[in-house]
Amino acid sequence: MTARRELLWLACRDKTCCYAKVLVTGHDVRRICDALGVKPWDVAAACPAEPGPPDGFRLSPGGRLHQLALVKRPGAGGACTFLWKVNDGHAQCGLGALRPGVCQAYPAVFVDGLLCADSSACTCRRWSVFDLDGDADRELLARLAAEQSEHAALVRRWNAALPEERGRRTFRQFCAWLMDACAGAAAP
Amino acid sequence: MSNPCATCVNQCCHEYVVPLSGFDVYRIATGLHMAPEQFVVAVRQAEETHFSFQLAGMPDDHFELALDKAGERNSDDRPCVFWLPVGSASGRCGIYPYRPFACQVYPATLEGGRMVRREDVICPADAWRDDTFEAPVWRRQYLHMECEADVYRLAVVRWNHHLEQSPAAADGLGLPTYLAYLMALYERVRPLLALPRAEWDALAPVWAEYLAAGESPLLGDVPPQLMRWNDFFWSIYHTASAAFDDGFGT
Repeated sequence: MTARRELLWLACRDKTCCYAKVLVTGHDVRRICDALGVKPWDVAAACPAEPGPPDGFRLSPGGRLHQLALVKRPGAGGACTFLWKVNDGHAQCGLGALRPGVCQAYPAVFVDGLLCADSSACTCRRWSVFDLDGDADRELLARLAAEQSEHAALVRRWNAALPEERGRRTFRQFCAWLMDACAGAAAP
Repeated sequence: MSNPCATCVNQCCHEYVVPLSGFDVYRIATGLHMAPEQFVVAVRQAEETHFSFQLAGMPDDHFELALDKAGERNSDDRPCVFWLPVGSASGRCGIYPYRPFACQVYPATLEGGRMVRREDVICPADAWRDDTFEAPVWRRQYLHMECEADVYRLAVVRWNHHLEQSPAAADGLGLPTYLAYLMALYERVRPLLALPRAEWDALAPVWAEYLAAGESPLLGDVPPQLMRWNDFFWSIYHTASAAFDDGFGT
């Protein structure tokens, strides 16, 4: 049976959540790329980060921090590239069950260990904790946190191994390394 | 071997109008939790076909169901409404698990007992290896599509018959009612079609062969070679017949 939160989300017409910056993990990107047969840089981009995120990666020593985010569809006002829209304006996610963990969990969040609903990216409704699916959402958030933590650890390995003297690495090199690292096969 | 569709730029998802069966509409609508009217269009046909239905107030017109296209009606480039521009120019399907049968079997067809590449498709000539379509999954999907199309043909026949016989009710029998009829019908037929895999594998080739001879066990007599599934065909037939006799019992 489809969960209550999922039904409410599917019914949402505009999906303004899909216009926000969607930060993803290497594992998210790898799952999508494996399923769709596309390259990581087709679905993810290096997004300039505020100082200090645990998953901020650099492309050169001391260079600007970036985070991995889903790409936007060109000319679509910031809509996620995976968002399709039928002609009456109703939008849905083309990834479905394959969508990133952060999308699957939205709008559930933990605040000091308490399950809450954060609908700051929504215009469709003010989500309440009663819209969530309790234990299922707690489990989803715990899995997401573990994956984000693992992603941050991989990014730290990448940053630590950036060569001082050989200059800049490209985003594609980062992606290729990250995909191998997610498969457990990469050495920086 | 990688799928040739992954990097193809011949734009089948832009060029073709994708035909839908009633079961396609039901699967997509229930899978996405959307109303069929949001993604289905009725395409006027030049002449009557097995799958053409009529609508109230247009007695001389025949329509088939198709997936809607994105963009402006008069645009030259209108991709499928569910197409996603991801990666290479080929893009990706945004409803892959629910995509219509026509997309699932494209570009294959059954010819002389063998699954082969259709001659009339826009795939690059060397995109598919000759033996690709010998994989059992292609034949299974194709036969499933053919059998399911026969069920849809029954649905169309029942609808057109009702429209013809009920002039008083005909005003309300537009596309939204046709789609509501299909949704209600398939809600009841779907469990009947959910045969065990081995049973489908036994039934589908015999059913499809009978269809290829121009006959249908749902629209005519059940022949000896299909008699072991007689109850199966009758249950589908009676379910479809109940649509207008008793409103599916509602």
